[in-house]
Parts: sequence; structure tokens; C-alpha cells
Amino acid sequence: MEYCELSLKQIIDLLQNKQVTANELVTYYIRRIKNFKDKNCVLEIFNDALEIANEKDEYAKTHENLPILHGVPILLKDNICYENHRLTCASKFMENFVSPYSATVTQKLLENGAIIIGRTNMDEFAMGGSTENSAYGVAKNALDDTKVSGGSSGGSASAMALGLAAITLGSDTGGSIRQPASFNGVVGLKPTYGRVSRYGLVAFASSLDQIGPIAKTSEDAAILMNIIAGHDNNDQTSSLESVPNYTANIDKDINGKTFGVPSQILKLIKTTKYEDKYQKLFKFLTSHGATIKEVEIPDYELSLPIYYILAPAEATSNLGRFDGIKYTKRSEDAYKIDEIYNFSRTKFFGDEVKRRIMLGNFVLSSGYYDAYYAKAKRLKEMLKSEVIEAFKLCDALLLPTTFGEAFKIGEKSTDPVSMYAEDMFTIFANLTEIPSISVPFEKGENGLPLGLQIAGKHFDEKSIIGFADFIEKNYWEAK
Amino acid sequence: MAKITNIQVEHLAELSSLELTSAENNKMKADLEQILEFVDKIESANINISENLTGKIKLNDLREDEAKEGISQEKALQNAPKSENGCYVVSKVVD
Repeated sequence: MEYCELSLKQIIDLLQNKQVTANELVTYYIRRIKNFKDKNCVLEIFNDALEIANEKDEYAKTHENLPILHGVPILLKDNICYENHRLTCASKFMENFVSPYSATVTQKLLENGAIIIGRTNMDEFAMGGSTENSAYGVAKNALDDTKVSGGSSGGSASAMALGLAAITLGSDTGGSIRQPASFNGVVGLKPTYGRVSRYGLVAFASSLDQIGPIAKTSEDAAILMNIIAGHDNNDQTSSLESVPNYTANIDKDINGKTFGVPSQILKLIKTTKYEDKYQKLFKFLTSHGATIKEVEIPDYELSLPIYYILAPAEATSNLGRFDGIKYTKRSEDAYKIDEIYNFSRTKFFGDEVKRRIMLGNFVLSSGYYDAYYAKAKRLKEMLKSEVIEAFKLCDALLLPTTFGEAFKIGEKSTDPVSMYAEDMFTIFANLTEIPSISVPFEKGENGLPLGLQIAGKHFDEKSIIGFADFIEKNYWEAK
Repeated sequence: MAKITNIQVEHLAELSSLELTSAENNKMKADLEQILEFVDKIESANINISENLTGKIKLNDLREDEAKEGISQEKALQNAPKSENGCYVVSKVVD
């Protein structure tokens, strides 16, 4: 059987009904990962995966009630810790790093019976929008070898689209789950800030980072959210808000729902050359009883500048711990203590990471702090209050995930600002801390998928998963 | 347009514990100027919020102050490039 064509839900059913063994599944995916080696989306297949699968199968022989993810093969982005397994954040600096503990999400997956089969490629330290910043080579788009997989969770999204695991996890600081999901034609969910524990996720910008699923279907994303969401004593920013059943809105209609579209987005859509496709979608939603409403988020356009001040500032601070002493490689040429820091960081950090550290230090430095960092921090709060106002008039916001289809490898890698503009539509959810899901809805001029972004109220992942499920089943798959 | 001097770039490199060649310094200067020009849009933005409109999410609950086991010394040192007798090995700091 071609397991790559099945959803997580179908794979769970097969495993629970003992119609497939964990060994068969893991063997299948490992072979498939090897067949797609040239895509470079998986950095390592963990060599204990098959042994763990055999243990699961032994367990299943004598037990009737199996945990929900029993035997399910999962790939993790290379910045999520899995105890006693390597993790590099796609950086040369972390080449020899072995996780001393598991992330809370990893722990939850394992407790629910999952098998972590490997780690996926990404932009170094999650900084980038194309996975071209990986120190281990670019991860190619699942559908077109000449195109990027997106980023920074490009490896996870490409792997998901190629069917290299039942589901994958990514992390999203400015669009790093949703943009690659869009480029590869899969579903990606960035949860509300604080919904999923960040313990064991290598920090990039701590006030914006969230872990989330990249899945074949919206329902699969919901199934995974039911497992990974919730408060964690090890993450001070994880929320005490109760966790609903995220699959509750699967197969629901959208009659009576109101979708807001920010007025600037309506203008921007006209510049994406796919205006007709959005209009067609809006008509479809209206024909099913929903209302499309123009809403005002007056400072929407400040999202990108705010982000490119706050994220580098936090990154500068977070990456200060990489010093050539505690858990990274050390430059062989270093002798004096300053040389250990400077030579190691200079030798092993990639260009984009250096650029962001320098930029972060600039906006935090004396004389510039108030004009840049402090002001951006306040503007972030202002943007958040504007979004809360907008949600008084609608149930969810609709936005494109990206300007267009996946772009060519090399097309934007020499121009940092044009690469940063990639995040135009996604960043705003991180800054305002709201959940947002990308679901494929159309194909672009080259036949590659386009994602629609549905952003929800704080902690209302359940509704946007339901809306995404509706569009996926009645619009995207109906084509 | 935002202007940065080469001396400023050198200073930022020092703050960042990075060393740049003069070619890298020039490239970094150009990149930073381009990025700053783009983020400078916030300069003209008016901040217009009252504290009660910021929609704060309730966070920061504190657990009981009980001693809990952390990771072992062995685990903490397992990724150090050099360690000896339970310590990180670094260069001599004072001559």
C-alpha cells in the first residue's frame, strides 16, 4: 500500500486496527526518504527508529488500548530537541550537538506512542524564508526541483508533501510554518502564542516563536494539536487557557460566518496577479452562507518593519549563548578567551545569522534603542489592539499566505530585503499573537499551489481549523 | 536614507563577538543600510493606544518554589567541546 497517500487519521486507524505494523510503516517511510534524498529535506534518519517500531509492535501484541499515536512515524524540524538524538538547527556551529533532554512537544508525542524517525532541514537557526540558509544545502520544493521549499521549516513542509512521514512539526516566528506549507501544497498551523510549549525549541525570537503541525489535512493538524497544546510548567509563557477538542469543527459548514479581509490586503491582493482567484473564493464562501467583510487594521503595513526590529533584537540575545564553550563547536585557532568567542562565532555562523545579530545589536544599542526597539515594541501592542478590534466584526481574517507560488532557488538569496518581504502576509499573526493556518486553495501560473491564510481570535484554533477543513474539502479537493 | 559608517559596523561586530574582513564590513554596511531604510517606516508612525486596549494574554503563573531535579552534570557537559573533571575547559583569563 502507498502509505504516503494516506492522512494521519487514516494511518492512525490502520495502526489501531492492527492492519499495519509500526515496522512496516517505518520501513516504508525510511525507504521513501532515501528515494527522495536529492530533495534534501531530511537531514538525518534516526537509526533507532526501526528498533522502536519493533518494540511498539511487541507491545501491540499484548495490549488492546493503544495510545492514539501508537506507531505513527513523525519528522521533527531540526530545532526541536529529542533526547540523545542529534540536533543542529541546520548550523555548522551545532554540528556535534546531541540533545540532553526532549522538548515538551517531543515528550508528548512519545508518550502518545509516536516514533520520531528523523529531523528535517531548515534555514540556519530558523532565519530565512527559503531553506537556502541551511548549512547543509537547500531543501528543494516537493513539486519542483528548481524551486525553493520555503522557510524556515522548508524541510518539514517538503517532506510532508512528499509523504515522508505521517505528519511533521515546524516552528513559526514570522511565517516559517505557513509559507513553506503554502509552497508545497500542505496545511500548516501556527498556534496562538503560548498555546504550545516552547520548552526544548531552540529559541530564535522568544516572544514570537511557536511550534505547530505541518500536515496533509486540516483534520490531521487538529489531531496533532489535541496532543501538543496546553500549559507546561517548563515554559513560563505557555498559557493556562483550557484546551478544547480541535477536531470539533471538522465537517462543519460555514453558514452565517463572517470573514474579515483587511482593506490593505484587498489592495495588496490586486498586486499579486491572482486577484481573480481570491474573488472566486470569496464568491464561493458567500454562496455557502458566509459574509466577506472589509475590516480596518490601520497599521497593518507596519508589520514587516516592526518584525525586522524585534526579531533580530531577540535573536541577538538568544544567540549570545553560542560561544564555543558550552555546547557548540570551538574554533581550533582560538587561544585567548575572546578568541574562543569571536573565532568560533565568526567561523561557524552563516551570513544571514550574522546579519541578524548585527542588526539586533544596532537596534538595541545606546542611542538607537528608543527609536527602534522600544518604539517597535509599543507598535506591536498597538497592532494587537487593532486586531482585537477587527475581530469584533468577524469570526476570522482571510489573507494570502504568500504573494505567489514558490520562487526559484537563488532568485532572492542575494537580496535580504526582498527575502524579508516574503513574510508580508504572515508576520502580522506572530506580532499580534493570534493563531493562523495556511491551507492550499488554488494553483498559480506554473501549476504550483497557493495557500490561503485564515487567522483567528486568540486561542480560537478550533474555528480556523474548521474553516480550513471546509475550504480544503469543498473547494481545493473539489477541483 | 539611513547612513551607517564603517566604524559603526566595526563597533557592532565587536558587540556581536564577530570578526569581519574589510570586504565583509563593506557588504554588511550596505546590507544594514538597506534593511534600516526599510524599517525606518516606523519613524513616522504615531503610537496611539491606552494600556487597557493592549489585550494582554494572561501568562506568567508561577509554580511552587520547590526544589526539582535539573539535568545532570554529565548531560550538561556532554556537548562541551572541552571539559575535564566536571568543568568546562576555557583559556587562561589572567596572565
